[in-house]
Amino acid sequence: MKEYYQILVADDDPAQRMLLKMCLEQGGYSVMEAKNGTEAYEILDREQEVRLVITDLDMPVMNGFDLIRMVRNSDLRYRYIIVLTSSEEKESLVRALSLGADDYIAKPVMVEELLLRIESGVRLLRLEIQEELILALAKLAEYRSDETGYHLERIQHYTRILARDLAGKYPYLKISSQLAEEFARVSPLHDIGKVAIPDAILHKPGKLTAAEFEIMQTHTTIGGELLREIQSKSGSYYLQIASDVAMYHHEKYNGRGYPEGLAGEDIPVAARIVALADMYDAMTSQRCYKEPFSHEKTKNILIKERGEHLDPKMVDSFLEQEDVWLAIRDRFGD
Amino acid sequence: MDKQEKQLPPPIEIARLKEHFKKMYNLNEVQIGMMLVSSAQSLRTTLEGIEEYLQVEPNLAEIAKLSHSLKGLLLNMGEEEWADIARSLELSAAADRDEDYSGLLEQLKWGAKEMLLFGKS
Repeated sequence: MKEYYQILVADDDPAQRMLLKMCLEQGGYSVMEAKNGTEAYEILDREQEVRLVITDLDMPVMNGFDLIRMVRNSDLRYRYIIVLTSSEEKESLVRALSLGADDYIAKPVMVEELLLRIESGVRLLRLEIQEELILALAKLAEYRSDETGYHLERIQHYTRILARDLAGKYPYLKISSQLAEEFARVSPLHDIGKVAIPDAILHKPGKLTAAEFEIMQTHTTIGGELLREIQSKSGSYYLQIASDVAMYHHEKYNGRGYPEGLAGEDIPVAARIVALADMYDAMTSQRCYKEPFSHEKTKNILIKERGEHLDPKMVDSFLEQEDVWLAIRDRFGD
Repeated sequence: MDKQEKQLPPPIEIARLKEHFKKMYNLNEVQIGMMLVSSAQSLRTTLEGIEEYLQVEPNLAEIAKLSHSLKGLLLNMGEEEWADIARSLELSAAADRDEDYSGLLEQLKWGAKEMLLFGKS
């Protein structure tokens, strides 16, 4: 089972690499080696199954700091990074952790400690697998709604750029860069409640009757309560955000939305962000009941809804970055 | 060197190193053999590198880097006292201090002499 997790050891000293490899193989792990940061990055780019990295900091060609920075700033899959350090190198350690390293181990390496720290990394990566399963369920819900293609990916990207922009402009919203990323990660779960909506309503090509619309509206409470129930068992902050998004992404800024008629800043900020992302994507995409609107037509609708359906801050952010939205729409076109 | 030898840690011994690799890292005989070869090579490369950077105009920045690597190598070998000497070399070079770098290097070479000959035929 442990062989599923491959570990990359990056160190310019062959003896250090050999020793770590021998210790890790004792623990049942499969090990790859790199003698500098450049080689390490090439391996990580090529070998998606390498999920854990142990890196020295002082290496030629590319050092460990630059390796960490490159890995965290890239689109590569998340890797759990442990840095090798000497006990007196506190400043280097702080720098490595601030760049995004997950943990450290001091030389000389003790085998037991090394394997325990690796197991911490494995536990964290298991949580990511659970998250991927949850997102797979979101995708199933979308397939049922006939929303194929890259709808969820676009929503994630729109959510991310909105959240990051708002984080910089409105500190009182308390959106850290990590929280912005969480918003993006949970955004695909916004319509998970649709799994409970009958086909006849979900796929109706024409306008819904009042009764049908009432049933359709329940996808917010169904999805929100489902996620809240899982969240209450796991205590996961990620699922708390997901629950808010699913429950409240159809609330309107002016209080005339559903399910609870929340208004303004009472609507959780993640839900307000996803509301705009979802609205833009729905309008610019093909649906069983409509053809896609142009970007310009959609933009004019969003401007009209500024302060009504949508939070003015969100609309203003969209207007400032509409080129980026267009680029995302083009890159992830269906 | 006699007076200095009294102040220096005992030289690195292969027998002691074998025992260290077995006890601390649970390595088998084949693995211990591989580690001895690799460690000896790393020691040679590092000490020769320091010696080269001490020629004519010492390159203290490079000496500090190599001493840092040497320190890590010696710690893995269980030689904490020798690692301390490598650390002194590293810190002095990093701080650009006026130091007897050649003297420190000779101490380290003396301490590692058995390892420096290992695997060289």
